[in-house]
Amino acid sequence: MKEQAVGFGPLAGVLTEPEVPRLGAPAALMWNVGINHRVGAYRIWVDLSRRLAKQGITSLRFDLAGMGDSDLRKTANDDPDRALDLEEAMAFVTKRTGIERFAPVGFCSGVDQLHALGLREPRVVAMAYVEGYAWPTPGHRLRAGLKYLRGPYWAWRLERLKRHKTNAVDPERAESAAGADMFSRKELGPKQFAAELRQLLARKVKLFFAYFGIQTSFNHERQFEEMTGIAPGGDLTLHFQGGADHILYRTEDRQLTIERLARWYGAIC
Amino acid sequence: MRTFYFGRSRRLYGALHEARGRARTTGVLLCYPGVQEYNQTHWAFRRLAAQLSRDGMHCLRFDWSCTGDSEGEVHDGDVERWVEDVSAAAEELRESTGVRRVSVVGMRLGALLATRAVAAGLAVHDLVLWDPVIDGQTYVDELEDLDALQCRRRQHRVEHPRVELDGYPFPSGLRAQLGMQSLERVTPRGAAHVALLLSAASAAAVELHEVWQRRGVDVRSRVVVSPPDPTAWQDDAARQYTEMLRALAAELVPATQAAVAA
Repeated sequence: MKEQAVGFGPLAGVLTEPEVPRLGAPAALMWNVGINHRVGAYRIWVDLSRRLAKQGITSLRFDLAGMGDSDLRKTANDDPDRALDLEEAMAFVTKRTGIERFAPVGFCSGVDQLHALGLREPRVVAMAYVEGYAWPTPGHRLRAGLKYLRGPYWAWRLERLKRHKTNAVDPERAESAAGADMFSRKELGPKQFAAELRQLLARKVKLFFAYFGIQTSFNHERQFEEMTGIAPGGDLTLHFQGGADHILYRTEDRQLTIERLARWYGAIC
Repeated sequence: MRTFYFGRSRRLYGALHEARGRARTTGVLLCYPGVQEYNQTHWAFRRLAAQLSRDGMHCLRFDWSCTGDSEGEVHDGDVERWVEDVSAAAEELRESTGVRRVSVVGMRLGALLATRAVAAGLAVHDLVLWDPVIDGQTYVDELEDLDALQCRRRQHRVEHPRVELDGYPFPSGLRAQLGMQSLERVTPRGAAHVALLLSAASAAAVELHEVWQRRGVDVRSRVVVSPPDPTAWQDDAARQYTEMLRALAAELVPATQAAVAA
């Protein structure tokens, strides 16, 4: 494996190349998770890049303009799709490695850029959505009561109650308020999302979805079909980790997700 | 800014902010805190590095081995190796920029590691310690408390034995190594000046100050209070550190004014 610190335009990243590249494999692209820089929450993109390299897959993890180690652009920093950043990342990989097909992965709000990229870009042949779009369904609401049976749920409620009494400002509320400003996202409803997924599937784009079950809006693998009307299978892979939280705090949860992602990448090559 | 890998035995990821205008003769090496606090401080370090480069100083920040983009896996983290990383990074800063002197800013665990490197012979001009980890066992206890809180917030059970802390593997060997660290047991004789910058007053810091002063270290301490920002998002630590970043830059700039004037 060879890791190189690279710069292209105003952007900075790390290109990870395998010793023996797998012929015809698309390159994986990874970028910021929320305001984490390109290493990702708990270094998940570093671990994934190195895991993929063992399978012969090249990857570029990079910072969007104005984040992490990347500089601001003179213009176009307010494009929520970050189209120019992603275009430059793909052009860079092609120039350096000759790879012209891409399999980007987005995590949390990063799926916004991922989804828009896949819809407009024919060079994208596979996409992985990690903790992306989720909407409550009647089934979700029915199953939501099950959380009361988990011991840690009540520990969390107690913790919140204690904090409410001792803090003038609830840190979680402050987090969500400020976070909401920072991560204002384009409105996308389940109908539009489903229609756009069908476009991608019609184009034979391979899709991977990972959802986690704690403090998220997704609580059962059936929910994907309830939301979209699309049953997983064929070109669409669904991975549900009910015991994992939204940002994969526990190492074993991260390792399992990385393993499933790596297996999927191996299968699509 | 230029990013690259460096290091002979291990490849470390570095980001060099080159001095704007006429470069001063002292460069600054920034040492991140430990991996658990690294992501939250990345942007603050970038801001500090950018400020120092505007002030005419070459500034290098780097990822510890086994963390960030550097070579190695988190579970292989090793205190002695990290101490060596400080010297390797200082050498890189000298070689790549030609600066005659190096000053070091270390935060939390990074402050402890930088101090150990200076005590082991690394010569630096200013050694600026930002909320340093003074006692390794206290640091491990703090990480355990933080982990317990995060587990409750994320609705996980705290697993025993604690083989990971705050989202990262935390092997028993590293735990033992960290537990044995103490700034009071080392003396940063290789530093011309030492500054302790604290975000809150601390009895342990006062004691450390006195111990080092008795040993002839030129040390000064200062509490830098940042006004609370209740709207700051948890990971957006840079917003909460504004006053501290100003204070850190102020510690380093006067030392090099004379060099420029000369």
